[in-house]
Amino acid sequence: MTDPLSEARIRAQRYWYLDGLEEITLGIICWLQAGWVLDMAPGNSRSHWFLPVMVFYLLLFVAFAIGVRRIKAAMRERITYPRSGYTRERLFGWKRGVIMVVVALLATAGSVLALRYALPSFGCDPARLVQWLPAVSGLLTCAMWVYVTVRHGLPRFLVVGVFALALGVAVSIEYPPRLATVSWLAGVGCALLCSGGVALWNYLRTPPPSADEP
Amino acid sequence: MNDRLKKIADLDRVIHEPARLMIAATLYLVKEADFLYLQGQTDLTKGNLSSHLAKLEEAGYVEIEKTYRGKIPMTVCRLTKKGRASFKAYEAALRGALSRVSS
Repeated sequence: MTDPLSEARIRAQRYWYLDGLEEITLGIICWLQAGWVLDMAPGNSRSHWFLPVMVFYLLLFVAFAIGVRRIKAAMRERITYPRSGYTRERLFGWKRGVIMVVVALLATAGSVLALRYALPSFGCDPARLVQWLPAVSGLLTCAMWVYVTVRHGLPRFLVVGVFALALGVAVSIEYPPRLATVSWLAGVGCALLCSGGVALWNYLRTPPPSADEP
Repeated sequence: MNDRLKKIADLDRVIHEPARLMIAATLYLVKEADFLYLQGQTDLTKGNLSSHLAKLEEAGYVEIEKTYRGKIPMTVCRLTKKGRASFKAYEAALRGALSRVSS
């Protein structure tokens, strides 16, 4: 059983998922990653379009990373405010941000080193593991969405999580690694955009309450 | 008076009132929030919420800014540094006091 303060915290966090904008943002990120993986295919490096497309994607990533918070805040002020009020998220302190970036970098470096050096020495073929990358990503995504579903009571995340896992397993079995990764990212991106779109549609159908204040 | 129980008597009474505790707890979790959001989170009536916010503002715990979003009036509330510190201290004191009583 949760205490009232934890419950208040959960209720405040649930606010960020009500309008579906978080999922739409994640869906766009998945599509950008899918395009990036597709562009990095070995045969593409000989094409004249390879470098311009890579630079374009890099600029798009940077612009999205810089602008996404402002775009979401602006959309929330225009969409969410008249219906469920306005609130602004408390940003992490810089120390916590630095720790998170360092942990993410160490985890990535550790995974790459494990794939390159440690696993072959135990008789594991890294190529086989790369083949199952979408399934592993699906499992992690599913676990994350199950957590969000249980914590915030929003079942649409469970549907997306189960879909991500099923798609990850299916493409890992059926397709070669690069196509499997691209298909998984594009499929999960679609699911997130659909889920976010439906949530936003339902949200916009609720009439805004009167905004008169004492 | 029992020392353990005395800890409860020392709690900050401005925050201790249930409605104000809900408001402070909600504002503690975000950077700022408007009147409508607070009303949705706390289920208080407009008059009730307004009077409790006024008390928190009087104690220097909450900062209230009246503004407009387009043509719609918006009352933005945020905890001050003093309010944030007081809420943190209240939470620790309450948890400490209750754990001492139940142990």
